[in-house]
Amino acid sequence: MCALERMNWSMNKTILVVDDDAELRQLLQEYFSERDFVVLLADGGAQMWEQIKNHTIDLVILDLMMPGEDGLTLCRNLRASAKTPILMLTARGDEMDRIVGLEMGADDYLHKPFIPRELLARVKNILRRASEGREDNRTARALQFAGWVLDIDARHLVDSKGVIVSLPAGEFRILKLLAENPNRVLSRDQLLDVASGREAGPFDRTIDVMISRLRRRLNDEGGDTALIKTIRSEGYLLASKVERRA
Amino acid sequence: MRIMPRTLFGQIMLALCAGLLAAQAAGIWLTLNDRARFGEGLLGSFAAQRIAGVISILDDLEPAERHRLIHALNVPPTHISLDEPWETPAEPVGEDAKSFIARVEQELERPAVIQVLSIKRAEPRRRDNAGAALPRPPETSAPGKAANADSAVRATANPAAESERRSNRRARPNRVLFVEGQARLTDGTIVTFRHSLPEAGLEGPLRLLGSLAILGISVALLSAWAVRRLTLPLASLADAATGLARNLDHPPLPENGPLEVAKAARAFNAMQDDIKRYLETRAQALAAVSHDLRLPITRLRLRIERIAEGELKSKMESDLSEMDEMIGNTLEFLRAGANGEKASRVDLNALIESVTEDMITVGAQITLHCDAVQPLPVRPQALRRCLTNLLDNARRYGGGDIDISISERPDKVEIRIEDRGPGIPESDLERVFEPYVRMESSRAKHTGGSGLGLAIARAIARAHGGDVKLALRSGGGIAAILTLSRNVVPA
Repeated sequence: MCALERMNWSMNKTILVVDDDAELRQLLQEYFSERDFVVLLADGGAQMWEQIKNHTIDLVILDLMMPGEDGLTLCRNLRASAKTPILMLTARGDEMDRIVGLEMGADDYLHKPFIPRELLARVKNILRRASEGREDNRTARALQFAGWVLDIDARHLVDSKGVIVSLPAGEFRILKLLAENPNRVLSRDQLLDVASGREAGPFDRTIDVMISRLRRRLNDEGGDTALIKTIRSEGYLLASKVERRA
Repeated sequence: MRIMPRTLFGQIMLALCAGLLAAQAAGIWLTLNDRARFGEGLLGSFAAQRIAGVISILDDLEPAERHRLIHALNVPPTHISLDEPWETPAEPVGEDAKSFIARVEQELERPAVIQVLSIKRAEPRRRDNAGAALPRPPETSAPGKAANADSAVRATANPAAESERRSNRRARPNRVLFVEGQARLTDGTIVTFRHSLPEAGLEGPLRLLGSLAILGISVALLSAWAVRRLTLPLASLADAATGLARNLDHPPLPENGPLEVAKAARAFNAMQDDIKRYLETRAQALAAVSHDLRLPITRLRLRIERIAEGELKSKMESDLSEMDEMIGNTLEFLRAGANGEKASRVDLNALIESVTEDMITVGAQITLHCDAVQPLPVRPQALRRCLTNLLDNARRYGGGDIDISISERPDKVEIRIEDRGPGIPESDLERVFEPYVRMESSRAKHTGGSGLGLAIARAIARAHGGDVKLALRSGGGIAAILTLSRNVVPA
């Protein structure tokens, strides 16, 4: 199953890595080639356009911090000429780079120094969405429902008046999962899986406690008009239309 | 009580006012003294002249005519009457009386039978009594022993004494204020006279004092304005110097005012620019190193993907993560609060609850005592980081229970994060905010931490127009106090 899945996602998928560091390009090529991707390389804008002209490319990994024609300009020009998904590599913690990068049309971003597995996961995500033929390839940056906006990057809620309501990590992940699957029942186990996240450690908050906290934060009175509905002996669902915002 | 004011303004004003007061007082004293001497001198001569004139006129007249004329002669400041009996002086005749009699005799150009019942001379310290009517000495009904009634004149003083008195009189002005006396005319009629300085004499000094007071007050007010103008730039210079440590981007001081002040302001602005440039250069160097380290770390992370899964690989991964975190912290410290994040209105209660909840998840014991607080415009991610760092610090070094409280004031919000740990010496409460400073004794070595947590927290708070301070908590432990200004919207 695993091998089949890998075949499905990476067979014939071509990634173009645009980075000014030759060694990093080389390492990325090795890393992705070992995982059955076809990897093309470019050291900057000129080579990138050259590669794009000669090959069909499924995804561009673009370093934002490059000398010469910078990543942002390349990103904008690329987006203007093609629908090829772009994964942007940014400086860590530089909010401006991230925001501008996303505005320039990048589908997703990752800080340097990234963990290779994280990069692989993001690449696969973008490719899956592209292959599903979604009109909007881009990773949703915000989910909007019932007067609330769940900001995925900032990991907080914004109410209808624009006031930011922060969420603990576990509650954020639960709400994100619920909002990504609106009107679908999610079991406590499914929710617990995401709630504990990658952080190891004793997770002593039960899902029920977290759901009740979330309801309080969402001013959810429960009952028939509840936003997060309890489905007896099954789990919970978010009873609202959810709009994805890039 | 402090007599010397501490402010420059106060000291200059004190010196100016004291000098002004002394000069005014000396001026007033001199003027009044001169006036008094002049007036009294006039009065003394005038009194003798007038009384001598009255005596000589009355002497020449028939008794019947005297009573008619007495009305004409009886004008202030001299009161004349013919109806009083000869009195015996209550006190022995003094030097003043003798000299007055001599003066009258001089005017009459002959000796006369005159006695002085009361005489008041000006004394410098009694000037305020000048011209005031003095109480009349008690009248005695017993007639004075009449000196030779038939004799036309009777000298009351021998010639030698008279010459001495003359010289005396020249040496000191004849400052008679009030004199009461009697003279016997050639036919034996008794003339009683009282002469006093008119009361109007007081008006002069009052007017003088008034004009001097107006002058004094206007000079004092003008000086106050001028001195305030001089010291104000100094005060703003001091404010700017105080604020420099907190905000290097403080707008430059206005380079105006007096030359010296403008020069100081220019020097200060130049210093601010220099410090700013210096710090920017250092920050850029540190940021550049941190940025550049990320490439090798990225490469290393890709390289260890080739190592077989196992202890070696996982240890290398955690080393790399630690390096990554150190770099991240350094960069975060360098750009604290200025990473491009926008300020929005944030529900502080929800923020604190979220951070608390996250901390409880990793094993902290926290009790919240929070009042509901109005949303505040802050950078949510930065402030979350700030609170996380403070809580993390309390958890690492405080051990045990942590108490968090939030209280709202009209102009600020105060968040207290208190632990019951072993604490640190009071002298180190500020030092721990310095980047990369860690307390030697503590379990810091075991618990890790970048040494930047508090520095980042403070930098973020200051970027929000607030601050973070540590204080010893009563009953043991440390209180971290985060204040956020309501009036400052983070730039």
